[in-house]
Amino acid sequence: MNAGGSDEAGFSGPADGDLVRLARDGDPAAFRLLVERHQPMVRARARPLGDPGDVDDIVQEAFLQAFLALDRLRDPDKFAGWLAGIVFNVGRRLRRRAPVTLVADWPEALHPAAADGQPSAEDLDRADAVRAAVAALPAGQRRAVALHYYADRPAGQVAATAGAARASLHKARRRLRSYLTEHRPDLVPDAGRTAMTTVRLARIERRIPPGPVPDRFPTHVMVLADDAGGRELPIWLLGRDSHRFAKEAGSAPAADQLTARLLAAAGTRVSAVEVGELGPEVTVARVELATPGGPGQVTTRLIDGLALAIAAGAPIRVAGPVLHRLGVPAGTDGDRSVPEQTARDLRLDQPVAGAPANLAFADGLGQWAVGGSFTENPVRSHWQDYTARAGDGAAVLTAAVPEPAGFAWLAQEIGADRYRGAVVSFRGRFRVGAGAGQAGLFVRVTGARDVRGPFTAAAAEADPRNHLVPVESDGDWAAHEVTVPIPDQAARIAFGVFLAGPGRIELRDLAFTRAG
Amino acid sequence: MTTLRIAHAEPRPGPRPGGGFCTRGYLVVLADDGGRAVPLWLPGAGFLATLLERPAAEVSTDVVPPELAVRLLDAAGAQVTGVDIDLTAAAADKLDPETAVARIRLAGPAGTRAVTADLSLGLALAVAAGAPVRLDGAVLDRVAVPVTGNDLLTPFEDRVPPQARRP
Repeated sequence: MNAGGSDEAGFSGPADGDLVRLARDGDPAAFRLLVERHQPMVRARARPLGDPGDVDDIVQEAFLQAFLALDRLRDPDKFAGWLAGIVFNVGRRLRRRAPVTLVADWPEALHPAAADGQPSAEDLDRADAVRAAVAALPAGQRRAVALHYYADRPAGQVAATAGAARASLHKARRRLRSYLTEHRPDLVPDAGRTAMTTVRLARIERRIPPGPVPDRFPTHVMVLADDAGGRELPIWLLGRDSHRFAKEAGSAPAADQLTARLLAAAGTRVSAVEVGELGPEVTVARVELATPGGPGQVTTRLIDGLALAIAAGAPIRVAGPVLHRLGVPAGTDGDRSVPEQTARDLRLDQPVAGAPANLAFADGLGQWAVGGSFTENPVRSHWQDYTARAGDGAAVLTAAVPEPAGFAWLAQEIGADRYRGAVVSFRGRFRVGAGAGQAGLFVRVTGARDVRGPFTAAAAEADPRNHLVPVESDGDWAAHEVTVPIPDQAARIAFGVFLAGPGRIELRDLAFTRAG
Repeated sequence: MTTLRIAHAEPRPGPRPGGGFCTRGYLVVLADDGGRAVPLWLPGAGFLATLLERPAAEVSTDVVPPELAVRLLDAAGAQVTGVDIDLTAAAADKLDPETAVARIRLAGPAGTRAVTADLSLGLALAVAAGAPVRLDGAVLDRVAVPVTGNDLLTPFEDRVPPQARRP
């Protein structure tokens, strides 16, 4: 400790770095010195971040987060800059969310009051979490925390000796951080970590969304509720997941229940399942494990992660930005009535067509379908990024927004029976406007039971079942053709055009024939 | 215990005339090295069939739940060491979901454990984990069918229930 020195910021007394090190060792006086020293700076930075009434909250929360995160400050000498970053993040979060009164220094009554004198739901939630964390401490540490932080007794008086007091507070702080990290990571500050909100599974229900729906149309929706924020996040179950949950709606499928039991038998607990981002081609969850060897993480498909959380009774946490962007006010998530069985439901059991049809678009887009990776999105936010229409003997697949997500196709699918062993040709005239993304025509040949793999543009390009011919975006009509041998084990053939990115691709004068 | 390999998990009734595919269950065939086979009709063996179909060298990110279970167990430091088929009806002369279950053997930091599971899921987990499937020798003597040649499927088509033969 550089007693009597002066640090870079010109403060007299111990340098910030030394105070941080002392505070980490359990010296509460050191942290109080840091608070006194930096409070003017924190207050000045907090003022522009919120209403005047928020400043105290931001200041309190920033110091609380700094206190809890002190062990993770890499360079103690840079405490001031680190603290300034915390202030900014606290203020930014406060602007995003409903104003809350923050629990600072575990207040005496553990019932923080909001501006109107009543604790908000979030305040109580935080207070409960802190109360539970304190209650989980060993008796000696709990007493030290209560005396020092609640009753404001000097550290030297919370145990028999000053050394014992420091040790108790040090251990207590570590335990509190560990507890909160495991149970309520959304309350634990980390400059590089996105704030997560704990949600609950409100319901899984049979529903077909109104309006345009994805190629692999959903029949069920899983609704996650953020009760404190009054928001809901609908997750649509696509493709095989619709059927997976349809059989066992409301509970985790048997396979996931088995996984939870296997993990329990291995002495491992699913401590949380986190959803950090959602969107086309980004549909994953992170499973947090508490294993005998320490914490672990495994990334899974979104639905697999959620199913496991349900089966294991683990909390589900969603990143704040995801909830902010995709959440809807509770109770406004569309029509909750169970729809009658529709033609779309029946489509799964319909045999595919035996031969190409409507190649001149006389019947509009009859026999044609639009799909693509943009539909592989369980939150509807990009389900309308691409669209298609037909008229005057031509059709067009077009991006409906300036920056569409993923890729799209306009295609029809036929049975391969009459083409096995032959070479087929799909040809026509195509036009791609200037400035468009990647576009072209394709033929896709699949077996009877092919399981569709990852549905990304890169995966589609690399998939040997896809035969792609790009079309230049020069704005001129041009003839193109793709020829493909059809193997004996082929079951289905899809042909059409694709578009990845903005712009449009038009097609006309089409033919699909045996070429050999 | 005798180690068996999973020779088939074939969906039935299968392709529809004119296109499409229909699955009402799976004809699963286990086999030993001594020319004997054990046919089973398992309605819920979809994950097992998917895993058997997948080329050995293919690394798929579209994992099915048994594969995820293996990954999670690996992260927990545990492994599936074997899947034993146990009869729940001692005198049964055939294997099916009513007469048999899978006992999944685990080894890991928590010691060795056994978890009972549905037969279909247990077999799928064995494939996902690359773990052996075992059956008591005396039971195998009772439920196995001698086979000649390499065709381990056609002789057992009659095990498919009549209602599952029509597409």
